[in-house]
Order: sequence, then structure tokens, then C-alpha cells
Amino acid sequence: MVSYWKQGNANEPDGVQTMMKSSFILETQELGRRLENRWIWKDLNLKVEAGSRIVLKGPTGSGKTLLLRVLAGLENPDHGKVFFQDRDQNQWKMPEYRTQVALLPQRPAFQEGSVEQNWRMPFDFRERSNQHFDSSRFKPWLEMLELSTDFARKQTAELSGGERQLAALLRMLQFDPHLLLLDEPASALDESKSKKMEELLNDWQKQVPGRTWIWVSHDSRQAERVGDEVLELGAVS
Amino acid sequence: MVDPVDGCRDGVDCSSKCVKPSETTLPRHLLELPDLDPGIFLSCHRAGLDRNFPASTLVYTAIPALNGISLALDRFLDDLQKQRDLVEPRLCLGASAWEASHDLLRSALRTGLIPSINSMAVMGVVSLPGMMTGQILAGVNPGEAVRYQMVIVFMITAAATLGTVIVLLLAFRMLFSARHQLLLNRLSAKKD
Repeated sequence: MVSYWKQGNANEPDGVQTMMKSSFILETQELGRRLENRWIWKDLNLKVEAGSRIVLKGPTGSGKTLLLRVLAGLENPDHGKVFFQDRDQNQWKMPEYRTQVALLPQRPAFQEGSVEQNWRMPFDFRERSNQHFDSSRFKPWLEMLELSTDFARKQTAELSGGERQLAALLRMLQFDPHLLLLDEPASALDESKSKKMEELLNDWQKQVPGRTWIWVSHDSRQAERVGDEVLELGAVS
Repeated sequence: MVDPVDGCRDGVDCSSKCVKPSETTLPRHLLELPDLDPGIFLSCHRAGLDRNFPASTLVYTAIPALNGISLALDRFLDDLQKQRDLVEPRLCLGASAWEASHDLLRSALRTGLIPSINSMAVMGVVSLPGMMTGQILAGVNPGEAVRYQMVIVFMITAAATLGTVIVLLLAFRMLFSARHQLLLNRLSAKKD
């Protein structure tokens, strides 16, 4: 079962609904995914408008992470299609697609070396060969998160779980993706840092119209803060 | 045993000097590869080598190469499974499948070449290769036997390198889709 409503209108009926009339950044048509011969979710018709902030909720095992992976093109659906900017996902060149639809995993991993080396790493990829690392972009973000400027020089092996999440988020934000897929990005953060991260993301989103996210969260108070709309995946029957 | 190199030369009757399959104790079909490209036999003949040279070369190079291939493949598959959390975030950041995994491939290739390089490092110092020793005992000039052995060792290393590269590329193609997705489920499906 899939439920969808807007924050503040929680009494709207269950069922998948069309969000807005204007242009959609992401659209799914009858999307379905099976695991071991049972549907985790199916007939998922989403229409995500550019600039919207969506929170994805659901019990453990309802396929939230799987949905984000399918939307990021890391896995194929068993049924249906994904459209990004009115173009079938299959027609996109995937590295290019993923520069615009960025997935932040729950437990990000890093290469050996400093945080800054890991922030620079994606610039070696062919798809980003025309982009250049700009360390000045990180300064206000680090201040906002109350992290010292030495954070960039820290070795990744020394990072805590929460610091890893923040470092991975900043690495992703520097590329300004159109659609952010956040898989419990604050799960290892304390409440104060979590709120600072939300502020940072809200600021980042407001800077340029059209920046969109789908945020997986189990925390209903956080969901209210970071989402205008809620998509709830039902338990697997 | 007659030294085959001294035998066959262009325009020289080598029938009396070459080792004939019928003179050995093994069945003829095991010693010859009659279906091989005639060009190979012609090359062997021109090089003054026995017509069984392709078969013996295959045995000499394939078995040591298999060690390297197995080690490299095992390392690559193991690394991909253990470092999935490192490979997929690279894909998420816009890397191609090759960019996301080439360091794992390089490390697997290095692992695959360790046996060949180790064997080359100690050959003639710690270990005495069987073919060279055999030739010397049979009365062949030691310098010539060593040169032959060097050719064999380089052939083994080249075969191990080539085989490892080919197998790793095949594994890479199998485990990454054209859409730059990591398909580790293909490994677990095989285990089931």
C-alpha cells in the first residue's frame, strides 16, 4: 500500500495521487519491485514537482531504501518506468543522470585519506571533468554545522558515524544536484547537529528554485520540519 | 632425446632428428594437436621446433597461468563484495562502472601476478627449474638451457598476465550492467 498526503492535510484519502499540475522533475509509472517472488511495492505512480520537499516514511522492510536505489538508477524496477525531466531513465546516460539525481546512502563509506581528498575525488570522474573543486564553498557549510575548518584535514578513518554522514552530505551538495535522495541522512547525528543539518539543507534548497529532495525519515517531528509532502510506503504483506 | 632446435631447418630433412610421436609411450593424439592452425605448425617448423611444441607450450603456460587467474578473480570478487559501500557511492557521484572499480581491478591484477613474479625472482637462485635441469642433465649446453628456460618463464608470465586481464575484464562485464549498476546479486544467484 502506498499513501500520499501533504503536510497539514493528513486527512486526505489514501492512494497514490498526482501532486501538482505543473512540470514534474520526477515521475514514476506503475513502478513495482519484487524480492523473492513478492512485491515490495507495486503500481507506484509518483509525480514529484521541482522544488518540492518530500519525506518518505514506512516501517522497516517496506522498501524505502530500495525505492531510492531504483530512483537513483542503481537497481532496475521489475515493473514500470522512471522518468526524470520528462525523459525515461533508460534513455539517460547513467553517469550523467547521477550527477543530477544524487543518492546519499545511510552509511557512507570513504576512501583512505583526508576528508578533503574525498571531497575532491569525484572531480576525477570523466562526467565531472569540466568542474573544479572550490574549497571556499565548504566554509559557510562548516560554520553552519559548527565544525572546525580542520574538519577537512581529518583522516576519514578517524570520523565518527555522524561526521561521516555530514562529510558525505557536503561532498554531494558541492555539485548542486537537482534531486537529492537522502536515506536517513541524520540517523547517526544528535538532535542539535541534526537540526543544523536540516537548516543547512533548507538554506541550500531555497538558494535556487527547483532543488528537490526525497528524504527518508522515521522521525515524525523531523518529517514535519523537512517535508512539505509525505509519501508512506505500507508494510509488506 | 634429440634436441629439436638443432633439427628442423628450412630445406633440411629433419625426419631423422625430430622426436616422433610414435617414439614416445603416450598415445599419438595426446601429443599432437593436428587440428591446430597449420600456420602454427609451419611457424614451429621454420623456427626449428618440434611439431609437438604447441601442445607442450600450452601445458607449460596454462597451468601456472591458472594460478594467477584464480587468485586475481578471487581477489576481485571478494573486494567487490567487501567494498560495495565504496563502489556504489562512486557510482552515485557520477562515476562510470570502470571509474568506480578500476582500483579494485588493478589490485586484483597485481595479486594475480604475484606467483609469476615471485617465481621469476627466485628462479635459478633458490629453485632450479625442471626443464632447464633436465636439458643440462641430457647434455645440452647450460647457457642454451638457461636461455630456453628464460623464454619459458617469460611465456608463463605473459600467459598469466594476458589470462588474468581477460578473465578480470569478463568478470567486470558480468558484474556491471551497461547502465553502470553493480550486479552483485549475480554472485549470490550462483551460490544458490
